[in-house]
Amino acid sequence: MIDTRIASLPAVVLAGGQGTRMRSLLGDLPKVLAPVAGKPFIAHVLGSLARAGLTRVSVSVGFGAAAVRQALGDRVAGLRVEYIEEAQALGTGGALRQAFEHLGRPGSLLAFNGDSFGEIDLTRLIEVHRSSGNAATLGLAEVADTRRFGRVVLSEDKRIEAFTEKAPGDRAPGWINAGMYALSDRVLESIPQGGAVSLEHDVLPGLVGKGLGGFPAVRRFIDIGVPEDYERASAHFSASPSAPARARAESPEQLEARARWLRHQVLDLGSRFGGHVASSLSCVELLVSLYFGAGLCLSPDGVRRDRILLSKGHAEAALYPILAQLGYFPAHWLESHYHRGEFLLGAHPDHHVPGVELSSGSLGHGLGVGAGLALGAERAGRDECVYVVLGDAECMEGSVWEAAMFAAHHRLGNLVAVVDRNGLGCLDHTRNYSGLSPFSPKWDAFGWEVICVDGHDLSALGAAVARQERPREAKPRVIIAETIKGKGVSFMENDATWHVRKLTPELARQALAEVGSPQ
Amino acid sequence: MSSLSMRDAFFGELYQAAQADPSICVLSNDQGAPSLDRFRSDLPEQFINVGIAEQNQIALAAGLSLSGRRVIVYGITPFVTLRCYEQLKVDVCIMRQPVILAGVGAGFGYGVAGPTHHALEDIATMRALSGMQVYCPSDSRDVGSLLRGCLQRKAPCYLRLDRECLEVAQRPARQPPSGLHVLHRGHTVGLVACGVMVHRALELAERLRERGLNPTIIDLYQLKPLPGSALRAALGQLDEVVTLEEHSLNGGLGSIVAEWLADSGLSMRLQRIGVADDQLYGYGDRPHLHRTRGLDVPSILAQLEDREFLSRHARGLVESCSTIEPAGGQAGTLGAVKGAA
Repeated sequence: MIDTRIASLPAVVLAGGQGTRMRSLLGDLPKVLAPVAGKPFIAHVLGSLARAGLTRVSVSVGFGAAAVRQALGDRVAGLRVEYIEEAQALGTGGALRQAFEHLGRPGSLLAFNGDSFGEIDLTRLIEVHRSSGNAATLGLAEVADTRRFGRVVLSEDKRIEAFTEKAPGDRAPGWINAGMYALSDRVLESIPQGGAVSLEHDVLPGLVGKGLGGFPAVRRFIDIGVPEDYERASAHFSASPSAPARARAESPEQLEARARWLRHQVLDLGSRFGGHVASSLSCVELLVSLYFGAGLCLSPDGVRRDRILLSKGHAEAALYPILAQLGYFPAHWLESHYHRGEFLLGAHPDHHVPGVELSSGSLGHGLGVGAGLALGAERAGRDECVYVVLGDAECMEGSVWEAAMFAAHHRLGNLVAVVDRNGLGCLDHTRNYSGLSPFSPKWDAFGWEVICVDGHDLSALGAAVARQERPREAKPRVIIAETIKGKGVSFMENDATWHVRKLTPELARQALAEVGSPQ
Repeated sequence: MSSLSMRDAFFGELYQAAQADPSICVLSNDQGAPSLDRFRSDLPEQFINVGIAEQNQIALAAGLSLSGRRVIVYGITPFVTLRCYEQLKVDVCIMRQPVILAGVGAGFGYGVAGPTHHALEDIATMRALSGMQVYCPSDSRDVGSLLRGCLQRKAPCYLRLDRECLEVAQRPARQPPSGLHVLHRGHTVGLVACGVMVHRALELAERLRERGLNPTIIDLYQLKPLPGSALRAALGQLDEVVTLEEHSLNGGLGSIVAEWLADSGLSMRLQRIGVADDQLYGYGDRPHLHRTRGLDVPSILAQLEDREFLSRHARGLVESCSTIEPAGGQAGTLGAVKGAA
């Protein structure tokens, strides 16, 4: 969605630096024009700003100004680009002061380094900046090793307490300045005009304790400050999950390996942190098929993408390892954030976790939200598919059938419901307390195309869930996947008590032995 | 009487906005309106009758919003608030989708339709949802600007619209949107009301003036986020405030003002006029329901009498009336008070 408040905000991209440390690789080419994955690095930066909702930016140029202008032109990725030229090297602070004057001294300014890339929710950044009354709010990225950047020390209430210097020593994970800023006019006014001033060294340290806040939510950060990182950058973009390739249709052998790996992950996480182990095990093949075998376009950025909504939120332990594997968030979050910490990976997934499309946990929501997404895509003429993973006991919720009626009436052929039919609720077998059966005739009567498969047979599942080019206005599809709750662990299979039971270390060892090596 | 209902003002404004912005989309729960007919026929791609399925209505609204649409949910108030409450919490508020809820039928507006159609818990419940903004205009003139404001915000908003055509309250034509209107600036006591009760407050003020009081009158149309500083500027110097609401006394306007007083450290007496817990469910036309629930002027005066409000402020009137300052355009009321003094 275009957020008009964001779209019109004054924004400056700093592209005047010379990049002395990159000379060996780039010669006289300005650092921001370093070719990465087929285009100048700064074009990736501008593309992410366009996706974040900006419609125009000012690029502050100095060294190699003409080359930058020529390379970018006045429009990049739908973003209107204008240029502000530095007559002399002004540094990041000086360039921002000049841009502030050039833009008519706005009340606040967004600023971005042109030589670093990250993804950020600008709406939230602005909300945080405004509601906190900060003088400056810095986008922060979490990296596994802060030594090269200098670490940002953040308080509980998101105040920046210190910047520690770049330093050798032990590898230290933590927050770094991602080069993305919301700056208030009082900061910009304080920067001396006309001379070289560094924002990072001369301005920000002086604001510590005076309204300097952090926004620790920049994803997929990378910069090209030194040659090693530059080499890494190409891989970052070309291998990134944002590459809109429908490449996730792996071979049966690969999918088998993924399923073994995921089952192992579920048990490993479950034994250490708890979580919904049995419910996750029943949909391992199902999620592997969807994420790796269905040929979906799962780009983590931008509105246009296929979506998988985990409406049965109590399968988080099978979802998070997949999202980490696909690069939505660092793998170490599974250690540091699952059931704990700042970016809580909870016992049910939250929409604000990267890669999670739906806040679930309360049952019966996903199909209606999915129908809205499918209808929105269809009416906008966007070729997107929406997959909603439901539990069978979840289908006792009346809202599921409200959505089922709606989707069939509107012939949402781009909507697919995948039901994990494990026959077990929290307390008992569904046959003992509900009228779910006969199950597939219900969907048929509601106007859905019904496909029943063995939910642990990857090849059958793969055929059923594969992304199809379908005519508009087809029936929505439901795939009823017959599964076993607790699949793969003999003492859990079909035992309702394992919905909430915790694995003891001994049982965890036994379970891991049963599912075999992840390799 | 204004010839325009809030609903018609709402759809009039929405029609304009939707023509300019094709992402705008209205979801109705099988509820129409003559003023919606033009919208439906001219902008069919931007209107969906989702049927009598409000849980799904809200889930769809969230999904459409996630797909880039600007969604307005329309229906009779209880069905687009309480019936789908948990969908509002999970799909709209947890996922922070800027869905706009337009509920028609504030308070006892649906009169004889009975308690299933009355909305006496909506302010309490909607404001309990994190991030949900709550607006309760007193006449159709504010509705357009409120809708425009909601469309610009990136937050879920609830508009509590009256079913009936209410008079347009007298006030300076253009005030900056502060969240409240100061309809009259008096002294010592104040009346704070929202929706239809703003009109009741104006009537009540007449009666109070006859008894020598000169109340400040506030139309507090923005209930959440509460415009605290504007409220403080309007009420801070008073000794006692009366809130008037066509809503349960549990969690509505009176509660909002009580919480605000407690939180802001102001010490002034507060009298809450609203619907008592055991009076919520009833049948009858709106005037009857107001009479029997203490919301008409004689009942309100009687309640204030019981609470010694009038006797408390009748004293010392003569000394204080030399300090009366008129609000814009309200010189006539000032004269009335002087006459009484």
